[in-house]
Amino acid sequence: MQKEKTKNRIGQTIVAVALLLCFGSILSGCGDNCEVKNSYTYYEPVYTPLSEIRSSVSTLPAHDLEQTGKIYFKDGYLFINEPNEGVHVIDNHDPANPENIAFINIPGSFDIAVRGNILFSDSYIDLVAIDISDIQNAREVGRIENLFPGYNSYGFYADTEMGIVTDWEAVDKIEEYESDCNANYNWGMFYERGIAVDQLANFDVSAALAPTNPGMAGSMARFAVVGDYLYAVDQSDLYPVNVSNSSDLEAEEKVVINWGIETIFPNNNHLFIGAQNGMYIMDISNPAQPAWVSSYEHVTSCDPVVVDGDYAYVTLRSGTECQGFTNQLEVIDISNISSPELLYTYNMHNPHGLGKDGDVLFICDGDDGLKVFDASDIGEIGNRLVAHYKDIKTFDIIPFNNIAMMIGEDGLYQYDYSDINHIVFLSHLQVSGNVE
Amino acid sequence: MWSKILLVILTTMAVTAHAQADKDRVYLKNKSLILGKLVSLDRDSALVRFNSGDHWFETGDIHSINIKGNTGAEVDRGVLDSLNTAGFKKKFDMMLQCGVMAGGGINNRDVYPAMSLTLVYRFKKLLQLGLATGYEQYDDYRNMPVYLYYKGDLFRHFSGAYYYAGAGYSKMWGKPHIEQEVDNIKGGPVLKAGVGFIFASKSKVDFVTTVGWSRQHMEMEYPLYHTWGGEWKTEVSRTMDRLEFKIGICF
Repeated sequence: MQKEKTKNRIGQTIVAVALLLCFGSILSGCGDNCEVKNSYTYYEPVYTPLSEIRSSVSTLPAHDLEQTGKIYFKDGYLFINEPNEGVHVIDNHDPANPENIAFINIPGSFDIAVRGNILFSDSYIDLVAIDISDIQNAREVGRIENLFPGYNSYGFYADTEMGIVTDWEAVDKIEEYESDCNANYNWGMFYERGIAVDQLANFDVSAALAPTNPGMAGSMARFAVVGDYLYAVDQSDLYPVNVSNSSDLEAEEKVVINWGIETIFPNNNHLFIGAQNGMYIMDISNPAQPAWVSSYEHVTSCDPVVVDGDYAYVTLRSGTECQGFTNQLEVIDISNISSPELLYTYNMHNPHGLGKDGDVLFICDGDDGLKVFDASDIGEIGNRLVAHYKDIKTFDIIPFNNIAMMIGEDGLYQYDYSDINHIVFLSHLQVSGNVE
Repeated sequence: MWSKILLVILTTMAVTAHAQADKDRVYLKNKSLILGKLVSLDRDSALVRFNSGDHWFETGDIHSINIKGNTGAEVDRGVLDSLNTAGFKKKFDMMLQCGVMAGGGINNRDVYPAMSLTLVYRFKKLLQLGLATGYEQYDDYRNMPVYLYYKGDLFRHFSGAYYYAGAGYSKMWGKPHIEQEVDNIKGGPVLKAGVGFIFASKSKVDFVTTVGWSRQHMEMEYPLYHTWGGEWKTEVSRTMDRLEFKIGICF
């Protein structure tokens, strides 16, 4: 009886072991399976053919200003650039009652300058000359194609076949695939064209177009007209253009300056070029071939500049695009043009554009408003604030003939400063969606 | 290759060993097993014939009898049926087991600890229902499954095989190193199935071993990933198949 019990135990044990080994043999099939889902919003570039862009310059009825860029004043008219769109023409013969009278459609316009009856504007990669002798029927009279090859929209340069990226189309993308779960989900995402952004991101299409162009007013100019020449700067180069014949514009050889170029200001046969790391002074005695004279370096910052007599006035401001953290006004002695020298520094809040007329210095100090200084003594500017207009976020200003035309966050403001101690507000032209 | 050959050999031996058990099986209440030929059975006694001779047992000491082949005329069928019916007791069984879960990783050779606690009620031989819970580990995760448990006895009186199946849900969380990489870990359904063997002992505690398959599903969300062009969100659904090997006690 004991033997029978033992045999049964052995049998049961063998069965158990056999089952264990049976399952063990299929162990190789036990693993993990992952289904991966990547979600993102993908912005695909939308191209407009160059031929279509180049045939689009026209005069349209006036419409509301939505965003303002460069402003230019000439012969009683204000020309206000709407970045990427064109130029609003404002009849400013009565500064207390400016009148929006026309809109010149110029796709890809970010900078303007006026010489006589010709308005010059960029149009993406081209320079366009527009006859404004009949302000209601402005028409294109000349063009240099591909003068600004560095223009790009988030890395997309002009393509001779497809054209220019003028818009972005948002596409919600989901990628799903299976993996063995050993994949590294932090691999970079590769896509041939376009930009992937977070689903919750607010992608500003207008900012995605020519984002390197500040296109903001007066002292923050990137075009300057001197005699028969127009000088344009982009991020790193200076482009002299002979504009004596507006229907036959001639581009001269470009001059490489440095990185971070932002502004240009002509004075007394010189160009004062503001950059993020300083100011460069070019001699334009030979207008077709600007020559470097000297440079003045400062900490990395955005850098508008105006020149009056022996002094250059430079504002430095912090901000993400400027990469710096300094906010101040610098007064530089340029009496020895070959060796500019810093004389005075005055702390500011977040200064943008500036303008000077006689002894009156106007500083657009960001969201601290417009500040007006008596600059008769350059060593006492900081102690001679004569007016402070708060509650306006100010960008740039043109003081001319006792009328200060200032671009702020919500439009164009004009002031009569004929009595520096009693500055009079004249008018406000509303702009709906200005950004810095 | 060799493992498959070994498997065939052992399986054949197991079948052969079991095939030799053509004798009647008399299960005593003291959890002994008598292999012989039942000659007679009545309310008082039972006679079992062995190769070495005959032996009398008191019917009151018998738990149940499994007859192979035909019964003799001296075997009272009524007593036999009564014994076998009463032999299956409806009661709660609790099993506590520890072991490993194997699979996953490189070549599916990872091994991680697992334990389970099961409470079943034995309604019938093939219908035993209950609940199970436990603690399990994977390469990057830990979980606590809770699942309905179904069990059925195979060839079992005191010792013997059984099969089981389970379905439920696991709460999952990541191990410290993965918690930094993943934003959100969600548990998911769990399925189990397998076989086990109970080794009856003289005491109230029996020993049990099981082998089975386990499938655990889970979901994870990774943090938004930044690249030069933007960000994207990654979600992963993961299914993990494992083999479970456990030993434990049943009481």
